[in-house]
Amino acid sequence: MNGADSRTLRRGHVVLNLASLLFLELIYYGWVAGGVHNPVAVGLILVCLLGLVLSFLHVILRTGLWSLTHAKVENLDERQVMVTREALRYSYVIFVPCSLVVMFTAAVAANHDWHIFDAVLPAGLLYLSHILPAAILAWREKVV
Amino acid sequence: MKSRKIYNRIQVFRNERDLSRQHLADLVGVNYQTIGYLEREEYNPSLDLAFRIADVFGLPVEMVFSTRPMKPLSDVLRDQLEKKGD
Repeated sequence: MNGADSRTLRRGHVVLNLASLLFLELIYYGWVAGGVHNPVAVGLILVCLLGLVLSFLHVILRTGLWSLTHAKVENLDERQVMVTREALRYSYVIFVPCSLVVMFTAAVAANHDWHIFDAVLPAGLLYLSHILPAAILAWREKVV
Repeated sequence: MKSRKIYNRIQVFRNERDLSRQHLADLVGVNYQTIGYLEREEYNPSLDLAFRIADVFGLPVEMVFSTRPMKPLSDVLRDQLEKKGD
């Protein structure tokens, strides 16, 4: 597999991973948390979970990007330090607005007594904060 | 500040010495992928790394790295022969 194909595949998995996370949250808070427990919602959540896990395994774990973005600086060489630092900078730029939107939504929901702020929302944010640097590297780097 | 592209002859010297990327990477203390990035001129090394690579080849750093596109070594040798012949 050449580098371009590999990057295209990686980008596809990054999109799948983030889309799975987004739809998982939307379906959960749209249907399940609202008290609607139909088999379609549960099935869709399972499909999203499957997409999330498979794309995570393929693009974050198998490529070694997880260990790269979570390694100590002294275990990285100068290029790896540079690319991970850049990925963290982009992650911050993406994560902060996402968090603000989520917090704003949660605040509005609390004002209307919707009480949607349970463990799934912070878990999603926590997951996002951990995979974003690796996802950015998977998206940008020619070879990983 | 946008940095200039640094050209190099790492691949030529590495092949001449029959070194793998992994072996060269171990000798200079970087990941083998970083050697690939250097050879494709997609990453500019620090001054320290440039000197370490030149040391491994036992050559002056200006023979390995340049801010201008590097001539093939065969052309350099031919030019030197022609100068001697003049």
